Amino acid sequence: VNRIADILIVEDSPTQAALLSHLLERSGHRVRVAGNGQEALAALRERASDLVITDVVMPEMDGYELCEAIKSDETLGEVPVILLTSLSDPQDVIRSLQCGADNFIRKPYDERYLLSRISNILTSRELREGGKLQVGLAVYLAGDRHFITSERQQILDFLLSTYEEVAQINEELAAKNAELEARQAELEAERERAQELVNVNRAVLDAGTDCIALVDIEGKPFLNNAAFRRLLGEFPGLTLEGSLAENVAAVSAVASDPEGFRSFCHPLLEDPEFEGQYEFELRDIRRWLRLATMPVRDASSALIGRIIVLREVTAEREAERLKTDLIATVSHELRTPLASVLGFAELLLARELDEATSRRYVETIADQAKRLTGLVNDFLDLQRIEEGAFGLTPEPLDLGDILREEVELFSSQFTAHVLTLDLPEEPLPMMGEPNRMSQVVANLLSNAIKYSPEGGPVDVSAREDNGLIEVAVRDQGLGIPDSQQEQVFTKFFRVDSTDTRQIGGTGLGLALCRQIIEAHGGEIGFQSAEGEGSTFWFRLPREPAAASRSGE
Amino acid sequence: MPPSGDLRGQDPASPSTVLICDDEEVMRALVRAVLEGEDYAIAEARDGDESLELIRRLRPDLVILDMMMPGRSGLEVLKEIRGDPELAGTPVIMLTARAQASDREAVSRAGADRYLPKPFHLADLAAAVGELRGGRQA
Repeated sequence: VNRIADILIVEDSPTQAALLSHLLERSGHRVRVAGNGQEALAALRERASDLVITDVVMPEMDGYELCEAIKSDETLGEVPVILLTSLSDPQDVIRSLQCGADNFIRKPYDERYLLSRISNILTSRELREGGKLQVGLAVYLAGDRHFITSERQQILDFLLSTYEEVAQINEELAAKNAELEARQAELEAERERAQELVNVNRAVLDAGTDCIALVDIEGKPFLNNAAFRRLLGEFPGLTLEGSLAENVAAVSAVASDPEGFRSFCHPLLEDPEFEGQYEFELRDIRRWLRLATMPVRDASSALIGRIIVLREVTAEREAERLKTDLIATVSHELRTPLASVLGFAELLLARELDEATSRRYVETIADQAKRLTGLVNDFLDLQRIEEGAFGLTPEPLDLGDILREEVELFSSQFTAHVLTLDLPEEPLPMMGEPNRMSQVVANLLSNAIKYSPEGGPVDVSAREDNGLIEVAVRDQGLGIPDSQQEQVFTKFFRVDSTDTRQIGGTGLGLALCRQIIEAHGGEIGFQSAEGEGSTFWFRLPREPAAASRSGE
Repeated sequence: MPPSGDLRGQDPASPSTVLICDDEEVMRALVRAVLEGEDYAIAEARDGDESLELIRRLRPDLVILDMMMPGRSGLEVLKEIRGDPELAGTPVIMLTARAQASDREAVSRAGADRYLPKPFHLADLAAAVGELRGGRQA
């Protein structure tokens, strides 16, 4: 039950006074405000209040002095006084008791608590109307002796409220502690989330094949990924632990075009905002890298450094080179037979020729047109293979027949070369597509002849071994350098050396051969030594059923 | 005039010598057919080395040179000719299937008098031969 009271607030700060007035008035109390002790005493003498709430720290007359003045005044002595104190000093309690204060309220005050305290004081005052007992008490606090002469009830109230106060402070401390613990747990969780994010980012960085390094605003490295470290592992001389400028110098020393690399890097070193890309080759290992770089900013967009991403583009470069070479090759391969076709056609049209010459020209035109057709077919085949539409319609056949036909055909065309054929007496039965098998044999023969520019023997042999038919085509020509052997079956690849540069071809033949042999369930390979010649072989499953079926 | 008394193309009585250098038999046959009926002595070479040997031996009045040949390429042969004071004056027609801009530049840098990419019109070849048979032009 709220008791309505007349309350005098003594407070030198108008703001504090207004706040407290507002609070008390909201609870139904009537409030007067005095700005200092003298005003308060005057106000009380003019009209009594039920309660005085006074600030302790005030100029001239502080709260204790005001309280003493009230308590020692015959007419005002009965008015309960509540001190507003920060209670920061243990002596405050003694001072409060000595001045005869009825209670105190700790600043900053809790509104609910303040109101209940006021209500208690008003109740308690009614209860102790009557039997007053003045006592004289000597108390010691912090080594000092103090003498208190308040009423017993008043002292009891005061001490109880002090105890209450301590209990409340304790409660507050516990709450504060719980809050701190919660905050601590939150921070820990945040730290774990941050660590998790770091781990995730690290995994993302390390899983990629791009080499990533970050440098700070001074150019010192502070983060890199696994790919970057692997790359460094491949260059024992290159630690890249120094500054950006030192690293640029170190890389330009191993670049094929040091000047180009340095001039790309110049703005990178000068301008923290620089963004750009550059491709360069590492001289000794013939590998191409693409460098991309851009500035890195923090949460407030301030520059904190630069990211450098290196990606190996050797394969792309090689593909690009092969494509360019292919275009040149195709152009060359098409132009030579086209020149013959058009040239001899022009001659036929423009000149009066005897029949034998005309016939020879027409035959040449037909041959060259066939050559063009073969070239176009190779391209179409390759395209079909690339689109995965390379289907076979196998039938029973004797590989011996195909070898005999092709060797005979090539012998008649290339008289500078001696072709031999070594076949077993029995047939070589297999399931296959005759045109495709002829294509493989023709490609191998054509290569053997092409890469024996000086003429020389080309030996073809076939034998049966353990259910497999093995065919070998051996030449004593230029051979294939060790360094290029890996690429022999790569499409558009052609052996490159001073001896072979002028030899035509699409670079498709062996790629096609491999596709065809593998589609027949076989394998193809070669042995070769530069300057000694090459032996290309393929093995296919022998199918005895094929022979009996073909015999039916 | 060189002390050797080079009389190429100045003596109407002796036919001009034309050397056809190409590894493709069919191309040599075509060029030969174009020149047929004119008063030329025709020689043929099948690769770069043979070309250079015949140029040194025959001192032809005109060389028709293919670019892609086994051994020395046509371009290398051309550079040898231009680098040899005795041969430098020989007119050269480059006849080639290498028809990209970079090829044309390389040929022109190496000092060919004419560049005819394959396929070519026979009349263009005949005209180039006619113009150059009298020696290199400025």
